[in-house]
Amino acid sequence: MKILQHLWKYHQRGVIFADLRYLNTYSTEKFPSSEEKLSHAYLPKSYLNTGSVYVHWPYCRQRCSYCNFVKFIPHPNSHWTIQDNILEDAMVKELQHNLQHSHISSVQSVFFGGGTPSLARPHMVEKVLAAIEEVCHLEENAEITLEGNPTSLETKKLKDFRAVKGINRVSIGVQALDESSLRLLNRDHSIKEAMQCIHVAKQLFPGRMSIDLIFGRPAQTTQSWAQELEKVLSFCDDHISLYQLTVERGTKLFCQVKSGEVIMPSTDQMADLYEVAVSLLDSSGFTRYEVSNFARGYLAECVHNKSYWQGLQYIGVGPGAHSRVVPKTISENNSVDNLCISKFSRKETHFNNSRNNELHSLQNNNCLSKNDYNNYTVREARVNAADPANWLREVTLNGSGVRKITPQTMFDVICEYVASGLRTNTGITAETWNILLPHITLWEAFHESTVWLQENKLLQVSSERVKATRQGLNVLDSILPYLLNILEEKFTKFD
Amino acid sequence: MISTRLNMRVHRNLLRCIPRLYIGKNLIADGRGLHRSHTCLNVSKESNEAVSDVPNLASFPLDRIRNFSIIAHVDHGKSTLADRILELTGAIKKNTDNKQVLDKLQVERERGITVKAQTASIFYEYSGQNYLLNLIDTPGHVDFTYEVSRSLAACQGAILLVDANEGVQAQTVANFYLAFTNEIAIIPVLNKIDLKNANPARVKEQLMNLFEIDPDEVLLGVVCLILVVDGTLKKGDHVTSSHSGKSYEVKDLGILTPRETTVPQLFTGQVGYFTANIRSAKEAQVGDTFHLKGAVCKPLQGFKAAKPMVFGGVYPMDQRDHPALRAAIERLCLNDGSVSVSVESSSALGQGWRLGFLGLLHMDVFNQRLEQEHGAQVITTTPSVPYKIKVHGTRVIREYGGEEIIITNPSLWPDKSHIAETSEPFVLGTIISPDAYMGAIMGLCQGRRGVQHSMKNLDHSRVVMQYKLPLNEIVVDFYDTLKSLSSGYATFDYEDLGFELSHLVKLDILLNGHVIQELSTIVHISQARTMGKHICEKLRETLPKQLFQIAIQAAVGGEILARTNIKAMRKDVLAKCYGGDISRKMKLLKRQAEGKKRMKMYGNIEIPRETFINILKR
Repeated sequence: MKILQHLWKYHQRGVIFADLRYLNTYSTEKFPSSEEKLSHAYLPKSYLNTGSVYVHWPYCRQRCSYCNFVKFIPHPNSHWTIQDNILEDAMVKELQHNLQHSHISSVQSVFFGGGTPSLARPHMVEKVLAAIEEVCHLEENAEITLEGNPTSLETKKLKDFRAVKGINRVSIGVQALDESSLRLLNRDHSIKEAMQCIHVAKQLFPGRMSIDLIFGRPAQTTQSWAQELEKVLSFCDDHISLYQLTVERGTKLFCQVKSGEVIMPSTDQMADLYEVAVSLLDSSGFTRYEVSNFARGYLAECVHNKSYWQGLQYIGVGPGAHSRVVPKTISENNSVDNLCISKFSRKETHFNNSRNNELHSLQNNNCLSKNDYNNYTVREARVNAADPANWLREVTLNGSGVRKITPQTMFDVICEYVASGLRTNTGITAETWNILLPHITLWEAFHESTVWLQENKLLQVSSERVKATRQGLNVLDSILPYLLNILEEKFTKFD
Repeated sequence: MISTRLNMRVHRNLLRCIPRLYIGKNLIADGRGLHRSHTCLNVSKESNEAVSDVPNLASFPLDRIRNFSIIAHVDHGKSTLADRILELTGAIKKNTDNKQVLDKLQVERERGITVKAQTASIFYEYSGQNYLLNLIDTPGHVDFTYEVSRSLAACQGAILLVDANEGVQAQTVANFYLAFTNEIAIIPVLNKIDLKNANPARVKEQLMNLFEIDPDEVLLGVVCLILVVDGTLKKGDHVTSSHSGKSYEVKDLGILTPRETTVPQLFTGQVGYFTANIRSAKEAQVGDTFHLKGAVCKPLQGFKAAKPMVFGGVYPMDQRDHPALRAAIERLCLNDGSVSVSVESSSALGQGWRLGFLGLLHMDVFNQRLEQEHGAQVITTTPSVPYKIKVHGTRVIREYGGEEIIITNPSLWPDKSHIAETSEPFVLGTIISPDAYMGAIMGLCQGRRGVQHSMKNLDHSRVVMQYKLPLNEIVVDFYDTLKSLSSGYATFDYEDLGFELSHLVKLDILLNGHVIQELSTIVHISQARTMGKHICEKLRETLPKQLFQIAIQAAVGGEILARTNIKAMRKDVLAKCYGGDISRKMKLLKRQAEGKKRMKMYGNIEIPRETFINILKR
């Protein structure tokens, strides 16, 4: 029945061959009866058994002026520079360790991000994918993306990456087609190089190439931006990620803006630039399937990134990588297999603390009563050590480079789902909602409480889904705090 | 500050003048009460050691007691002169630290002003006779005029101190009248005559002009301290307040030298203090008469309860500090009975109080003391004045409990249809300024609905202007504006003229049609539009953009006088939100959600507290 519903939905969208992995996630499983829904809270096997993998390559050739990601510029004698094979082996070790300590038996997508993963050896990809297949199943059509910069050096390497069994999608950091912008952003490539890279990538990965662009650059006008975008549209593939330039603390850009050397566009100008882009992309057949992501056709959408926004499990590997995962220890201690709760105290754990002690206090509790939503851990949010040397030491000692573990209750999981799910054109679906929170329907939670948002045409609430309107998506971060408060109110009622 | 030469001059003046000008008998016979309420409650323990130094007070007959004050404009050297007198008579040791000895409050020392009247008893030998001199140091500012007037009432003489550089100033005039109407001997003294710009001859001319003015006004204002008018007072006596009828047992009494010094008994004509476990400053009204319990006693004349003329809201910056702020206000009010306190609750600013003050400086001083002496972080709202409204209709009159009502809070303003007439307090403002600024000052006064009362040349380059002004127009920034447009030269003082008819209206501020109660103000009909525009503009600048457009309107009754819009927010969404960004984003969202919970919604419009503070604060 569920499968039929899905198929119907996809049929309506004109995409009959819906992503099977997505269906696997929620629908092939036997769903619990409504009785169980009332008294139990759990994550079903479909949730527990699938996940995606993110591999963080920590190195870049040079520092982009706006970037505050975890990255290091390798120097021969610096403590953070680790030999390729050592780094790769540690990544493999961590990946296998984490997979084995999770319920994940099937990996849907792998994303090599960074940093600049295109600087790594193609062999790295090979090793990582082999490692996944060693401990669990890597789905046949799994989306495997590599991020890269369009330098001539990396363009040459693309072929090698293609040759490696695996990589089937690339995301190219073009950022701008304007020399002065590239200089300001301190990119290590020219426009010419970028064009060449796109040309090559399109041939190697037809229909599977994405371009990253940055708008809201100093001195950018709607006119110049529209021209630039037209140019991109003339040779791009079916996926574009569009990011607003944000001034992050600790970056060179931050200092430049603070000192007045660089003047950022005003909020109104930013809105103009974004609106111009959205309408231009729309008229070229691109759907805004997420705030910053545009795809021509459903199949061009990035499966991996969508799994984040759907609140699914992901395992991050490498320095500074983040994970959301239900560790095996949690449900092993529960007698009912598909139940996953843990009763260790709700505080952040640092991996070096003896976490095992806390796990001893787990109780054989096979049902989650209503008030347990706020009290019991159902998932963990983990962050790896950022510094490659520290991360390496942790992995060598413990098998995992995790530095910080934050236990997440069902409430936390739902908040994250609402906050990220609303970024997509799918919105929050009743299906996913019901799995997480069967006590109250999506409609009950949001229909009346958001009337004013609906009246102002910012939010759409139906029994099937809650989603942001076109305008709502533009101002989502101002809507979310209200929704979180609504959620909290509903949850306190359970207590 | 004061040169030796001046000291000598003052010294000589004191010796010469005080005994000669003594006219105390009549005064005492008239009976003038002076009561010190503010130190009653905290007599210091250290005073015991000083007791032995005190000569037997019984040995001073009335004709060897001299009560005197120094009156002057701010900064003309009053407290410094008091310091030197205390030094020369040996009451305090000559010491470089002897600055503003009598100004005990931090705010007094910082601002260089006297807020609370103080007395210092000095024992002095002159021509082989021992005299008891009581120096009563009074505040100079107009807000404390009542205190000054009551202090002067206890005196037989006053030193009118004038700065030879600055000449006669507004307060010099006010204080002169005060002393004059109290029929006490006045000794004019010129100060700072050794400074480069001193012009004693010119100032002398000014003083001559001043004395020739026939005063037609009698100023009355506030009070403090006790003068034993008749009989004696000793520890253990039961005394009754004529004002409240309550009785107290005298726990301690003494004189100030200037430290509180316990004495066994105070005799007729002596100034001192007593404590009797009086719990509230409200029970120890300035100017009250105390008498022996059970004795029949006609209260001394001149008493009137403090009448607040400037009101301001006081709110804790953080609502959690509410109890601490309440304690701080209570403590300060113990010390200052003239502050009226009523609880006020604003949905924008939380729980707070509406305090009534005697004047602007009084309010400033009180707020500064709150912050300095009690470490309280407070938001003070724009000061306002009380309004008097006559309502009509029997039902309405019954509802308000009278035909005439006093409104201090705009939210209590009656409906337009119930109002028969409105009046507001007026003052007579005196401005003394170099004539070069005359035009600008006249413009300022006219802009503030002022009506010229008189104008006179003080000398060849200075003018005295008197304007009748609504108090409401001077409570906010009149003084600052006056100072800045006269390069700081103009001085200003005012006296109360009471309520007068005035066409007042309630100005409402609407956001998308909802009246925001907290932003309503009472304005004169002529100012409604300007004020409305001003508030709308300020709101437009400070209210953050919301998810939808907001119409801001200012209205009187139903009539819209000003309007402006705030456009809807166009973009607010995180650009990148992948695996590693979610935690950070959630943290931020949670914090914003917490903030929203605390924010008051007005028909889905959220107005941050900061916006209210920005508009309501001074």
